Amino acid sequence: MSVLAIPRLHFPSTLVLGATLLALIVTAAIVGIWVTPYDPTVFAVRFRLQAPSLLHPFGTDEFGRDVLSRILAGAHLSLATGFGAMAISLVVGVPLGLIAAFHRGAVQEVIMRAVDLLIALPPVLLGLLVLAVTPPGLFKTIAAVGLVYVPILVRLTRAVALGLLEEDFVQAARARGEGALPILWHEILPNAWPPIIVECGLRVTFAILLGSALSFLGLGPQPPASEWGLMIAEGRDFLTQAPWVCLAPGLSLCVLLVSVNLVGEGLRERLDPHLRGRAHA
Amino acid sequence: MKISRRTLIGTSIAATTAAAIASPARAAGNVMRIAIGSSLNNLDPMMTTIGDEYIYDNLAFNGLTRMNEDLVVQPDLAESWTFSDDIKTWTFKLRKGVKFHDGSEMVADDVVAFFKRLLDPANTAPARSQYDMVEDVSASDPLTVVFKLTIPYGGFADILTDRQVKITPRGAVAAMSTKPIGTGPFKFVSYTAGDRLVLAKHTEYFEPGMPKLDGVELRIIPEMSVKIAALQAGDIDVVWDLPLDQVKTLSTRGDLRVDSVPTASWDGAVMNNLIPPFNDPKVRQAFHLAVDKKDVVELTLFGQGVETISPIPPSHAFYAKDAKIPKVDPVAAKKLLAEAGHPNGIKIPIIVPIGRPVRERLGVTLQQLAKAGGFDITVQRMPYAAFSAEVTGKAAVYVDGYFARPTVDTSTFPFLRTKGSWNERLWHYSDAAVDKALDEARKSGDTAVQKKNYIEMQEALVKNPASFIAYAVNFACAYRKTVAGVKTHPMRWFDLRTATVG
Repeated sequence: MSVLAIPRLHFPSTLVLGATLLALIVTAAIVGIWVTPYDPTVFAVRFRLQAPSLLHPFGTDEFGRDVLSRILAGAHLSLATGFGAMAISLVVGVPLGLIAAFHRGAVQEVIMRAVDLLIALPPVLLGLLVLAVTPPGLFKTIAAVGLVYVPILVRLTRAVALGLLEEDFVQAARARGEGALPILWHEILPNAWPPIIVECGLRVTFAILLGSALSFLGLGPQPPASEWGLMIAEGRDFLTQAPWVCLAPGLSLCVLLVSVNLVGEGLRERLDPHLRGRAHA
Repeated sequence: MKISRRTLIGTSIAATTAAAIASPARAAGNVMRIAIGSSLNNLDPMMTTIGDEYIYDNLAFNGLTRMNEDLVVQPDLAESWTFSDDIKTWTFKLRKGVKFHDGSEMVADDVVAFFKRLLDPANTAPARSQYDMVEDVSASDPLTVVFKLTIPYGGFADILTDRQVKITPRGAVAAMSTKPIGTGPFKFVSYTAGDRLVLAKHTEYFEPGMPKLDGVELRIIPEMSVKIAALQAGDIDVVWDLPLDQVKTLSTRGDLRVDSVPTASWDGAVMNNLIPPFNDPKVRQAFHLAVDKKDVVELTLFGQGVETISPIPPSHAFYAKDAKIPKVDPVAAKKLLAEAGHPNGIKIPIIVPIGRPVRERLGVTLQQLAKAGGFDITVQRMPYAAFSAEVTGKAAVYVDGYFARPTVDTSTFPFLRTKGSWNERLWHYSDAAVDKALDEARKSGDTAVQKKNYIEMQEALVKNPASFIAYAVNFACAYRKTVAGVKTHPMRWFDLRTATVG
């Protein structure tokens, strides 16, 4: 019986549901880069603004382009914005947070005050600021959104690391005479990553939303690209006579956000020791 | 005098009924409510710059001449006019007994004072440059105004129909921006930015029996879907500047009348003639060979417009309908590009304005249609507010458009004449044949001579296009069926002298 005493892997239902949905969307997005029911950019004047039907499940837009095809072809843009931006904030934010935690003097002051400054600006404004000075494009949007979430990760990483630095095993490592880098890399980081990952999972949702908001404002991928925020911006003029042009990308965005959020919540339940205790109780 | 109980009751009932009938009728019954898109920035007509303001200009004020819905110039405050043989002296005879809204009489001194104000560079009037040929303006008697011009100018009475050139009382300049006074059929009552402008009937208006309405309200509603919902619900009577994609959809409704009229407003791809690759006329020609303007009209305007050569629209008598326009041929376009040194075609970004949906659509349309002719275009959206600072005169190619101007001269000369004011800003075009035709047309007061010259100008433009002037766009308004006596005006304003509601 002792074999069965190994703790059973517990996957919360939110995680399972979210991950399944997200996997479906990611697959569709990857396939959609190459294969869609219709060419997402070719005009078909005779079929413009047609209501959803068997031929066009999500209807057609003002140029007669199939909305479903456009959504599929544009899905990877939203995903790339969300996850790409998060990756950027991770790569920049986590090391900065660790450094700030380890060097309590002037270095910490410089990093943390810069972070305060960035946090004081509303996210959309910060994104606009980055994009307004240069011609827009997908990678710039990703970078801008990534920059917006750097401060949050710096703060979180620093807070977690500060707690860990007081722990006995870190003190022991210090007593052994280990340098700053080995301590950060071998002692702090492995114990700090669960809360960071959870935070990232939840922040991806905001990153996707912010990316779409920026491209709605014209600062993301450019037409005829079918980024969902841009599609909503273009379809807005036809809201009264052809609501599907706007609704389809809006709902797609909704489903994507819910699935990412479910994954984030699930990860939190799985990784957060406090919540885990409660789940078993 | 004894007042019997019966008379007393009778009178009071009559009085209450009269009041009850009178007040709601004034508030809702005979007032036309027009939905416009944005707040007015200026109440002084001379300083107005946007279409929403021009509606007000034409309701509360009069010019010396006016233009009707068929673009015919008619007397307004001027009863008649004559010009000297050298077309440099113009004499306008004013109407007698015209009253301003404050009850004072409009005389020649008011006209002179207005033009002095317009021409003073210190006042920075937007329309001033169109009147720089005016050397002097004077009143020879209380009802006669004489203009002396520096050059012969055949269209002088026509440009006085201009939306910003409205006669205001000479003593009331300081109050114009808060309590504007004019001679128009409706007088200013109140204005709340973001909400509405209220106008009431000018009871002493100089044309007897007009206006028929008790008042007009310009309701400021920025969002088009809200405007259309309000129109369908009967909360407003007119939607001004209906999006062209809505024309067919709303036409099917029984309680609405949708009017779509041809205008001289145009959109196009503005190509800078100084910046490669469009500095080469062959590249500009190749673009015309690559893109079918008919398709552009259908895709961008939902068919509510017509392809054109220059800012002169096909609905105008001066349009060159026999001009030999080469057939669209992508293969020939590619060949021409190769001759111009672009054997692999041209890769170029086109800038489109965010917030101008028709022009945004034009950009995407051109991107798609020009592909076959060897133009690999990427669309770049930019806030329209940034255009004059960052795009106009700087970008190699971008999408923009211009509203109709009152005369053929003012809509062509500044744009196409070498060193013309708009030409210098937009594209730096220069063509000897076009210059000659524009100069000749301007010097003549004879319509036949003008027509001949403008047709030559358009033929020269086909051979050497300044830019891709895509189409003359329609202007549409939607009315509730209860509205009568209004025609949709190609100049995008309203003449409501004979209008009624309900």
